[in-house]
Amino acid sequence: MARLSLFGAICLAALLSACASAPSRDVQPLQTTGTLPYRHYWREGDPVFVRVQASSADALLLAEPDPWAEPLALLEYGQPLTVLDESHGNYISVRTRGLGVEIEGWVMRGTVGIRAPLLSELEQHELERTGFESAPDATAPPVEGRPTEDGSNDLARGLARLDEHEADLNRLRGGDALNPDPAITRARFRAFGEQGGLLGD
Amino acid sequence: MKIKVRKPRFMSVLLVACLAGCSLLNKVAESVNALEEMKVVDNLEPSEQYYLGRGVSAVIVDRYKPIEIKDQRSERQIQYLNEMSGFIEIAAKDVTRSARKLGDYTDRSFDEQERVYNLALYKGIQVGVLDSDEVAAYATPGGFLWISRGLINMCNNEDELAAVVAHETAHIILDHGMANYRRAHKQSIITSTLSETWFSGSGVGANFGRLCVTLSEDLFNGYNPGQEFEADNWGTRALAASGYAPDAMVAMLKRIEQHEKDHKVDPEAYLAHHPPIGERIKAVQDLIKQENLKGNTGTMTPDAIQARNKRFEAAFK
Ligand SMILES: [Zn+2]
Repeated sequence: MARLSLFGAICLAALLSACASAPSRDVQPLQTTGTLPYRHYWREGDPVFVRVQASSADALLLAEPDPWAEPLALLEYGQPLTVLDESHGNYISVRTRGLGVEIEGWVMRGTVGIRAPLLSELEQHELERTGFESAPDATAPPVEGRPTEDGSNDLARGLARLDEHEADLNRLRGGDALNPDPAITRARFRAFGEQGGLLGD
Repeated sequence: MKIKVRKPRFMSVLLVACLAGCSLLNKVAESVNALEEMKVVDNLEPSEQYYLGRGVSAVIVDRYKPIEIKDQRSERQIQYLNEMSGFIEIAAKDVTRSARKLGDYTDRSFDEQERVYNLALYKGIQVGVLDSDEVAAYATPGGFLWISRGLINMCNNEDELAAVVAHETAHIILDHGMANYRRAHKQSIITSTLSETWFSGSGVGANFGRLCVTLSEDLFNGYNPGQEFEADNWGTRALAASGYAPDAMVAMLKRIEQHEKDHKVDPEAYLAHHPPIGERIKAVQDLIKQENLKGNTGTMTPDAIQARNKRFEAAFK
C-alpha cells in the first residue's frame, strides 16, 4: 500500500476502534488555541519556527529576497531560526545553524511562525498508524453516489486514493516518493519556466 | 458535538459592560466574540489546512474519479500540471494579496487580511485531474487543486491552461474556502474548538468526516461572486508575473461564456454559480488596461510561444 498519511491513520484508527468495540482511544487534541500563530512584524532577534513541510519548495533558505534566488540550505519542519531583518516586504532575513555552521539567508514571511510545532503530539498521532495498517477495506472500490452523512467510510477510501496520488506527485517532484528534495523540486519548476520561455530577458 | 460552557466569563463581561453603558456593551461583546473566534478554526496552521484539504479532496475523489498515472502520457500530464502550478506559485510570490488592491471585491476583517498575507502552504500546490467531461475545477484549503478533463480540453494553448491554474491558485492563496466556512458556520465555530470538532475521542473519524463533507459541499456550490472577481484579478496579475499573456484570462473566460451558451448550463452545475461571465471579462480587461499588465517582452516572442504550445499539445492533444 502506498505511504499512509498521518491523518488517514488517525481517522482510521478511531473508526476501527469504534467498529470493533475496542476500548475507545483517548486521542489528545492538537493544541490550536492561543494567540495568532504568526506575527506580521518581527523584531531583530525574535525566534521563529519553520511551519512548512521539509519537502515543500518553500522549505529553503534563499540567498536573496527574490522568489528564484539560489537556495543556500534545506529547512526542516519546526526548525528554529532567528530573525535578523524584517524590512524587505514579503521576505525576512534569518539566521540558522546547520551542521554546526551558522547560515544567514532569506525566507518568505509566511514560511515561519512564532510557535514551535507540537512534535510530541504529532508523534503520538504517528503511533496510531499501527491501527491503519490492518484496515480491511481502505482500498475497496468506490460506490456510486454521495458520501454517507458522516462521510467516514467514503473518506477512508478517498484518503487511500490520495495517498497514492501524493506518492506519485512526490516521485515526480524530487525523485523520492517519501522525501522529495525541495531544491530539486524548485529547480524543476524553474526549468519548466525556462523551457517555456517564461523567464524572459 | 461537545459545547464548551463559557457562560460565567461571558456573564461577568456582560455585567461590567452593562454598568458602563450599552455602546460599550456592544464593543465588549464584539471583542469577546473576536477572542473566542481567534482561538478556533480561524487560526489553522499550514499543516492543519493541508490535512483539512486532504479530507475535502478525499470527498472530491470519491465523487469524481481522478486520473491515475498508468502510462507515460498520464504521467506527463500530471507532471506538466504540477510543474506549471509550482512555477506560477513561486513566480507570483510577490503579487499583492491586499483585498483593496485586488479590486475591493471581498470584505475582509483586519485579522482575515493578516491571515491571507501570512498564508503558507505546507506542501505547496498539488494538482490532480478529474476524469470527467464536466467543466469543473476545485481548489481546497491547504493547496489541493483538481481540474476536470473537460476543462483542460476546453483550453486552446498553454497560456489558457495557465489562466485556469492561476485563477484556482488564487482561491487557495486568498483563503476563500476557509473564509466561506467561517462565515457559514460562525456560531458552531465559536461554541466549539477546532480540537473538539476534529478530535473528540472515539468520534474522530465521524467528526472529521462531517467537517470535510460540509466544506466540500461549500466547494461544489462554488465560491461567491466577489471571490470569483478577486480570483480573476489575482490570477491575471499572477499570469503577468509568471511571463504568461494576461489576455489568456480573457480568452479563457470567453471560452467558458461560449460553453455556457452552447450547453445551456444546468443551474445546479458549477458554472452557474459564478457571476455573469460578461462582467468578469470586462473586469479583467479593465484591470489589464489600468495596470498595463503584459508578459515580459522576452516571453512573447514567437519562439517562446511555440515552445509552450508544442509541449501543451504533446501533453494534452
Ligand atoms: Zn473560481
